[in-house]
Amino acid sequence: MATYILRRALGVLVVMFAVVSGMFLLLHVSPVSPVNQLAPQIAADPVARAAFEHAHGLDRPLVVQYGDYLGGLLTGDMGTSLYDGSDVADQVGRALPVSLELGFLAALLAGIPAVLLGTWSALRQGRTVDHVTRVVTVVAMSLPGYWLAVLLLVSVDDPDYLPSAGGFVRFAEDPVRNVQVLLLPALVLGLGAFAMVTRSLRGGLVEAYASDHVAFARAMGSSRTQVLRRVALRGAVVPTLTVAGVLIGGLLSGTVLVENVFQIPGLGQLMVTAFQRQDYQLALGGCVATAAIFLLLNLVVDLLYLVVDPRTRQGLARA
Amino acid sequence: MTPGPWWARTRTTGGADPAHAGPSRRGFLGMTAALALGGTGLLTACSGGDSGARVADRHKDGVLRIGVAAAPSNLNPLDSGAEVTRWIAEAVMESLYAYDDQLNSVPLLADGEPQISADQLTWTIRLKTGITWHNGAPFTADDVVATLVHMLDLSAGSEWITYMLGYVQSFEKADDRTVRIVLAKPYGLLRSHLTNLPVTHKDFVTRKDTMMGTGPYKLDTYVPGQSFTMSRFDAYHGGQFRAPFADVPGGAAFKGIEYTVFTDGNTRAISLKQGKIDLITSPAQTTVQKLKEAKELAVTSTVAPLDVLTYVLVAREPFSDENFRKAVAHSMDRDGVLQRVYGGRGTPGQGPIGPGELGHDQALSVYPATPDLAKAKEFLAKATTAKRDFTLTVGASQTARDIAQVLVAGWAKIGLNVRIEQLAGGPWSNKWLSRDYDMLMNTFSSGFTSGPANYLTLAPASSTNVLACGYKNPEVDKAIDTVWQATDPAERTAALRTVDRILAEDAVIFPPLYPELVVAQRTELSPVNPAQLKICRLAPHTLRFTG
Amino acid sequence: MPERPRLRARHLRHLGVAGWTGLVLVLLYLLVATVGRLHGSPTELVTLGPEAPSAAHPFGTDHLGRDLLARTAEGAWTSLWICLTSVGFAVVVGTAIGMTAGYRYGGRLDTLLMRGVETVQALPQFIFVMFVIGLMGTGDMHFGPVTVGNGLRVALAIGVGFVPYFARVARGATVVEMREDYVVNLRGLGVPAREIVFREVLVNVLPPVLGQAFLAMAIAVFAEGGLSFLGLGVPAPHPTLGNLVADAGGQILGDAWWYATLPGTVLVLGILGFNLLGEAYGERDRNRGTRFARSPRGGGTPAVPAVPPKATVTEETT
Repeated sequence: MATYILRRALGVLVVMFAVVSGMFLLLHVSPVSPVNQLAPQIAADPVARAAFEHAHGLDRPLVVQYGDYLGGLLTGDMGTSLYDGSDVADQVGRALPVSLELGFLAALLAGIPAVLLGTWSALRQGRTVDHVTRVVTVVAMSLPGYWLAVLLLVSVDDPDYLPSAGGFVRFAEDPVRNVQVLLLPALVLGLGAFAMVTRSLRGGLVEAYASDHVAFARAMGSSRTQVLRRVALRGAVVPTLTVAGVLIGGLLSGTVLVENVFQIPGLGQLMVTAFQRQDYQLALGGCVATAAIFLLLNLVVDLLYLVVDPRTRQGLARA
Repeated sequence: MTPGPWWARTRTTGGADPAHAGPSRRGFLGMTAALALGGTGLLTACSGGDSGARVADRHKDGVLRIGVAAAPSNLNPLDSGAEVTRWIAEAVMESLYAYDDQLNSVPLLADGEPQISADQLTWTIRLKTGITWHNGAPFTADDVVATLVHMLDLSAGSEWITYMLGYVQSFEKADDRTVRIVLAKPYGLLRSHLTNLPVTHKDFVTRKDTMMGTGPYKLDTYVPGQSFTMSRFDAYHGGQFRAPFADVPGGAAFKGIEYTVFTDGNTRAISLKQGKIDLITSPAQTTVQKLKEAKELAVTSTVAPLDVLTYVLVAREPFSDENFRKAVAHSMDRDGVLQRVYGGRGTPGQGPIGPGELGHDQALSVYPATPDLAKAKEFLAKATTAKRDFTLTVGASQTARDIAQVLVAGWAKIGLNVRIEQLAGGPWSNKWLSRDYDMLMNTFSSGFTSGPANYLTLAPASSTNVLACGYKNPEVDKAIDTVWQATDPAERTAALRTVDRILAEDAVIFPPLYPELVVAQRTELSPVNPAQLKICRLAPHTLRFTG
Repeated sequence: MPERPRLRARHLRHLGVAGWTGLVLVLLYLLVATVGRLHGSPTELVTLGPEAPSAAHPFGTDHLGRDLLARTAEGAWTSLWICLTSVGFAVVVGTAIGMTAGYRYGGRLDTLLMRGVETVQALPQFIFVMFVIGLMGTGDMHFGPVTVGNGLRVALAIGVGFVPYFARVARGATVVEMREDYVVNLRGLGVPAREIVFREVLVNVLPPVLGQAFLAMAIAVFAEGGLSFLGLGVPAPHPTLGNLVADAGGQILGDAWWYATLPGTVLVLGILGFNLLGEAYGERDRNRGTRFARSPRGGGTPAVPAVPPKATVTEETT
């Protein structure tokens, strides 16, 4: 099992390396140049352009720049923004906690009702609740978060709940206000996750209930709640974990749009701004951070399988 | 349960049920409202309250709070004359000369008028003594020279360089409190630049992450893109602001000023209405009516040097054809832009110089406010160019996009097919400089770079300028030279009028309108100084809380 | 995708409630797109400022006084076009990659291709698409005589983001198919590999791939809207559903409820419709007994995390 974990972790590192290399090279061969974004006196003057490129090391061979970037990355240096000269690692470091908090809050707001509704509809399989749940979840999955967010902006008129840029308060400054301004974005963001978890949990439970284990436990005289707690719920966790990777991806993508509407200074907003300004050092930093988190969370999910599902463990032991 | 759409449960949208999705949607809406977004009603319920009480309570800390629409990423006011930077820099930075309330240029950091040599090529400026920077260092000639040199450094990328190229030769420090500027040719306009260019400490000229000034407020902290916090600078020299508040030590009323960025127009308006902030800049057009209706708020709309920069590339087809240009100018939907995009706050455009700017000619009337399609078609028929399409390149703002869309819809009526291209600041300017455009347009406020005038707007019409659009007219060239060189204001104004008229008549520069500057404020704050608004400035350090 | 109508006709009976609802919603979306385009010009200024829905303007007018029904229709049409292009592109490229990898299952080419796919998937799909758009810049692109306009650029970016999903599904199905007795037999008979792949395997790989295509359509409509919303998609004045929603957000006070809600509702129609169709398709597959069962986790192919194909596609609709 240790070998498996090691192998997976190594795999993540390899993919991470490939991602960084791929993105770096693609960005540098793309026709987009950050110099075009500078003041016209520089951008349109070949001499000034060359001076700027030299000052920022953009005129060095690609291999050297690449080695430099990789080396920097290992020591936590992501370079400086080409737009305003600020430190990229610094900016990412400031934005990341905000996005993570938003994602966590969204997961929390999505998870609790999802577990309740998923269980409830599985217990009432084929009844009204079950049908309603199915409709609700498929619609919830189809509502684009950015649209909901716009509707919220239009209809909520208490600025205490609208974090649009200046209204945003960091957790360290004022935890209560912080959660207050993140409430609406987290609800919007969590809606899709809520739908997916509900569906997979319901599916897993229904399947588990039909299984021999449950039939056996029932035959041995366990009550319905006991069965639910001991056997079925555990069986339902596995399919839910299976969608977790997708969920995480959805939450990460969703933050980009939701942060944009609500003007939350998180990683997603940072990346959008970077792309709009063609500040590719910053954009690259944001993408690298996102990829790292995505891969890491997926790794955690994979390891959780081992904890939750003994069958997987056995399978590994045999392999 | 009557599951109306959940947004209908809040204030405005009674009975708006988009019933397309049928029963499943209805069911969902009810459920979602209960499950996930049930908080909305709660939120609305706990909003409201007495905004006046909130303001009174908030004002106890003596901090003025201003809501702006955007934040600069580069804080260095030496690099940019854009209002996003300068609105924040206003109370922090000072210049050698400043505008008084009659908009005359009076000494601020300079000690008296500049001494100009007989050949008009050497300006000698004495500096005031006893002025300290926010970091405690004394203000000296080194700082002024460093500021000027930075501005003229090509690789520094300062916007001001465009004004100086070809005229300014060198800057020298004569002694600790005297600066000498040597010119290549007479340059009367230099006085205007010295009145608008902020001066910073010599160690801070290249810093983009902070502001170091001599003004009544110092920048303490900021969160990029979000907020800027300033506190009163107790060692302030007094400057021109002692007069209005002689009773207040340091010459400023507030303990601090805080700028908060609200990019969304609605949020900006609501925050003001609820008393979270005291003043907002550029309220969204759609919110102005609501703000006007609120009795605790005041909306000020002022004629100011605001421009919609509009250039056509005369050097290239189709705008090389005068008849084509006139056809475009006559079919321009000026009134449409004014009403639809600016809510009627402004004046339909003629030539490049607007009513808030030096040299404006009120009697000039070449083009109708509503398109004269018949006349436009006549010109189009006379045009030798066969092209009936062009690209309109606008800046990245929503306003610029809306202006473009209204105009394009208007031009479609005479059979012109116009493509809209929207570019961010840098690439937009590059099109301008590299002369790679058909028609360029963007919003611009020139108050921070040229006071009650706009000189940069005219530059492309001069055949020798780096921004030249390909228009060649000796009379215009001569008049623009006069504008740049004259020291006599009357002479400059006359030349400006000439340029304005010719450029309008020849359809070289014909903006759709001259917008007004709009700000909205709480009535618990003294009214914004109308004289300073005329040069785009809020001058927050001259305000105080009332009541 | 010319296959779609044929497939639909063949399996109409199996659609079920969800499928029928989905079909109706997609048809409604198409109805708005067609009727609205006949209704008027999407760029003409017909009223002075925003007006509430009326007989003359069923969806009301926008902040510049343009007919919103015409704009919504034009937007729906553009979105649909972009989504069909992107999904079509992804189906073709993804299937090709997936089948090649599946055919060489366990080989070096398989490992290489799947590593590539995995690398692309290391970024959440929407962020990957943003990255691709960032690479291509905002203007038109020129490849010699070929000009890639803005719509096509967006379509390609979204399409590239989908390739991994289709590649995985196609690979999984190919692997299962290649193990079937008939393939082994055909091989034994000396039928050339190319013939087996194109004549026999492809036919059996396509159904699961096309099933995913419906769900991919839902995501594409969402992603296109999102990109336009961020200002990275199709530029003004050309309306797309995302543009309209973004404009509404930037412009509107509570009074003009129709501006944000009506175009958004059409957007939801499209996403929901395709989601339901995809679900119905999946349901049908399940009822028949899926041929490509979930790949065994942790067994044999370390390069491919065993995410069941069903789950791979519901991403992004947050």
